[in-house]
Amino acid sequence: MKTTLKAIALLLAIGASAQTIKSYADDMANLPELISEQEAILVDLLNAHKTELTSEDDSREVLTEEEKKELIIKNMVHYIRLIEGKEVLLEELRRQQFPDLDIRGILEGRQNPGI
Amino acid sequence: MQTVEAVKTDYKKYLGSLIMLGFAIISITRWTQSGELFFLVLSFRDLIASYFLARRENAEIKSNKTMAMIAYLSSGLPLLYFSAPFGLEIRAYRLVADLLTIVGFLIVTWATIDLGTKIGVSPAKRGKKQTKGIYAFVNHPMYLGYAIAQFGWMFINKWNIVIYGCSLLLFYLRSNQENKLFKTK
Repeated sequence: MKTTLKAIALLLAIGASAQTIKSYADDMANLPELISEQEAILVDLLNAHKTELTSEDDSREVLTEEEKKELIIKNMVHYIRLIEGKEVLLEELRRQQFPDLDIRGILEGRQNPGI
Repeated sequence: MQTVEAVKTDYKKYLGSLIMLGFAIISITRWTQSGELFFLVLSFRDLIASYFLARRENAEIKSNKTMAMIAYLSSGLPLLYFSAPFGLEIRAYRLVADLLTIVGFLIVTWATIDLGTKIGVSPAKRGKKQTKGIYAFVNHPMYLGYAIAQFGWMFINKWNIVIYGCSLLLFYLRSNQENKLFKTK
């Protein structure tokens, strides 16, 4: 009985490991394409192409200046995430030396606890 | 650490069993939502622990309340681990952390199966010391499994190093107390 339970646990763990590795490999394979797409989106946003600056319901409504800024920042953060540029971003923010803000503390501060 | 004789009937085992059953249901729900097999590993371990806890042997000797608190604190500590700031994590680190977590929980599951009805959170003496199965190779495989599972989380967020250090210290205290209990005649 114990051997059967251990064998089931082992099979589940092998399956979970294989799934994790496959997911990582898929992510890495798709990464260049995702980065290229994100770069294209950012270039379009920065060039303020009106066709890209529409709301999500695709109503072709032109966004306000504030909404444009928000959209650009969100896409920049997504781009930084894709290229794993966290350390460079943190270093750059630190070098900017905001006297009233502990940027590193804010960025490295507590996030949602893990599992 | 002072020890006390266990004289009352152990009703806490049913509460512990229900809690583990609750964790198993949460893990199964997360598996159905995400499709990640890791949650099946977790739920499998929780179901086994729930079963053995419900049938747990009464303790001949158990540790005092301070040690019990240390044990429960140690069990809850993993809930405090931080995720990567703003989700800006390095994929390779995440992969290593995930794989170590799976290996760690496999060891924990095997240890739970081998420990059987002697299982408990707080250190206690329930019959003879377990020396078969994975216990033939490692004195405290449950803590080893948790230590391996949590090791990779340090790479996800640097503040996790502090939590991991605390976790190791609490594992040491628990294992040390267990060793002392089994030396008690």
